[in-house]
Amino acid sequence: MTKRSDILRCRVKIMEAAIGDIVKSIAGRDSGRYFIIWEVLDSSYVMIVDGDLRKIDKPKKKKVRHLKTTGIKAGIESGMNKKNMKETNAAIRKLIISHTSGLE
Amino acid sequence: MITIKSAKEIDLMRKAGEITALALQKVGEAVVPGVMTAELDKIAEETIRKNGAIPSFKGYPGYAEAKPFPGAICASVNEEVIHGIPGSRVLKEGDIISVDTGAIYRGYHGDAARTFAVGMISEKAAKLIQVTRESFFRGIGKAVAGNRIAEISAAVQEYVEKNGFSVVRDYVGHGIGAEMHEEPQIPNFAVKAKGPRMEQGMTLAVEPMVNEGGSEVRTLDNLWTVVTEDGSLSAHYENTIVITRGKAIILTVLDN
Repeated sequence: MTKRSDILRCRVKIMEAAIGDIVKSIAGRDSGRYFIIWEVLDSSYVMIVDGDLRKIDKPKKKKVRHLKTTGIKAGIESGMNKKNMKETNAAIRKLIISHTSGLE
Repeated sequence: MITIKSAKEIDLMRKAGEITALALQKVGEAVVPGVMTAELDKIAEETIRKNGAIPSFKGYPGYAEAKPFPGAICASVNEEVIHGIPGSRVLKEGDIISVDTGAIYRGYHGDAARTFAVGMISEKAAKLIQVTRESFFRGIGKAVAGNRIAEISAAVQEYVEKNGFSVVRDYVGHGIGAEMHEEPQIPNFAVKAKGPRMEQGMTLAVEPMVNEGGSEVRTLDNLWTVVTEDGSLSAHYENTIVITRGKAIILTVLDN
């Protein structure tokens, strides 16, 4: 039976990350905080927001290797855009809290 | 930790390997259009048990929430790369089927895989099977005491890509012995880390998984079966080997 590669397990998981996924930062000054992927730039960079430290008008560009996926897809809804910034930031904060409250 | 096996342990692994090879041979003889993969599983299990061994795949714990593996063989048809679950699927003319199986004999493992043709297959499928098999032999050409694991990986990848196919990256070969999966990992593609040096008495399962199209794979909802992302065919060839100062010895063959 074939062994699942440990070398790549982490990278492969992150590469699957898409807009709306909840991720945990594992490097940098925001290390340990949860974010939502707002935009995927390429295979190694994404833009992340949490509606608090990083609001949607100024998302944080982050290397995917500095993120850990939680496997939770929160989903960015169509109403979530820069037009209604305040509501969107609040909604993102709520989404992150509701999805990650059980996690360590 | 990489374990070096004693001559006695290698003898037990040779026996486990022989039983594994015998099971694969019996399954290979039964691969014809119209046969159900569950029947192949039964043949393998019976062969293994009749020879005083235990099928190592049956009940093997899955990753995360996957249920333990239900069969004695992995039966992966066409675009299925590995870990196909044997069941009611009926093989038809032109299919290819990768059968992976393992046996535990007095505490020691044998692990091997072959890809079989079901009746007449396309030229491309035949080439895929042939290239996969040959890439294994290219790889173990480098499996000599003193060389590094990465040399096996590079030799496999080079041969496969030269022939226009791709190697699967998410799954790797492995050390084997008293456990099915031991250190080290043996990727089928070049990695930055050179990997450990091989020593006499190390036992490894070298297993190229080769896709006709791209190297990307995904896992189905049963949490076991891995398929090619683009739906192209995939082949698998594996043997358990022991490292010596000269050529590596294949343990999963019949005429030991």
